[in-house]
Amino acid sequence: MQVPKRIHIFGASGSGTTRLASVIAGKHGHRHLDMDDFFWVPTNPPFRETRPRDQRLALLEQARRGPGPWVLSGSLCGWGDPLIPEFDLVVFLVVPTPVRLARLRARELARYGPQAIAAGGALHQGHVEFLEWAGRYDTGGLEMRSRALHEAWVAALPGAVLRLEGDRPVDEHLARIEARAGREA
Amino acid sequence: MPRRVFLVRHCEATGQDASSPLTAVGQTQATHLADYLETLGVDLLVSSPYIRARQSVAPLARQLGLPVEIDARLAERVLSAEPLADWREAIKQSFVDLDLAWPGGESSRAAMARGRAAIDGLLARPERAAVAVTHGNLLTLILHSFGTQGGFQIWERLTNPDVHCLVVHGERVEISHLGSNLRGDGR
Repeated sequence: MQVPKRIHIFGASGSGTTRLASVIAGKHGHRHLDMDDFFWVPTNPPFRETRPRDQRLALLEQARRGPGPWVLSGSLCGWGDPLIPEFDLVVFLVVPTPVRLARLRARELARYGPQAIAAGGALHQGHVEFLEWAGRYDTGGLEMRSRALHEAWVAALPGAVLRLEGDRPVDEHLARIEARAGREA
Repeated sequence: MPRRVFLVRHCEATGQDASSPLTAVGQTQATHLADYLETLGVDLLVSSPYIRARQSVAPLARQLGLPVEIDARLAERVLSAEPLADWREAIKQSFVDLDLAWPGGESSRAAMARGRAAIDGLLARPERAAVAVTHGNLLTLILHSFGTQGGFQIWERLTNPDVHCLVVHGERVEISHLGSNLRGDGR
């Protein structure tokens, strides 16, 4: 079962783009590129310093070079738009916000530990603000990274878009992508 | 996608002169502003000629690799050539009587007209999402020109920085207030 060679998976924070991309990469041999690795300078704690756009694009260019297939996860709305013509398929993950928030909470807990994010902890405020921001995805307009902004972005894409909605197992998402590729072939 | 203009009041500054730079806190605010705005598809940057405005957009310009165009029409409204005894009261009055002008100063109506012309100029261009950095009084007047009521109260509540987003749906312009609580994907 083949899947497209150049896939972009995006969605709200916590929608599972990285997980789905890694499953595709594991099964179909795609290189997995994650936007976070290009967007952020690696620091400890992470996600503090962003790379200038030209450096990000140059690194992405390097990572995409070569004949093999790749899958790119994360949101590139805006800064990554030069890549749009390359995508054979764009997958838009739409997951209910309570589910996303539960995942994000668990992820932050695993990443930083309970002490750092608890009230009084060094990362507490950032943690609270991040979840608050992630929770506004459905109601926000075009002034923030919102469902509205993603819908507007996806509506303007020239190529194929597959929308996968709901809190479904990753294997089911993968099966949908494979089934779609099977129909196209 | 509808066209957007992010109307930004500059970050915290050391003074009111055209040449006053940002404070250290203001510099940090400018980087947070950049982190927030750069993932929203911004493709045009315009600033008031004042240093505090230019410094507020500088980190965003660096991260996006875009030039900053300077538009003198986004400079702060000049209330009076001479210092006023009670300038807050003067600003309050200026929102009641838009034609009120002090010696050497600009009326609210005149300032509003040039500020609005600058924004209309942006909307006439092919770029899809602009950032326009300006100042508190002028920003409030620009909002007023789009129908936002409550000039003086709006002005009083502005923060540094302060962001409003204008979204253009045909003839209708929708305005949302982001304030200074700018949280991006940064964690």
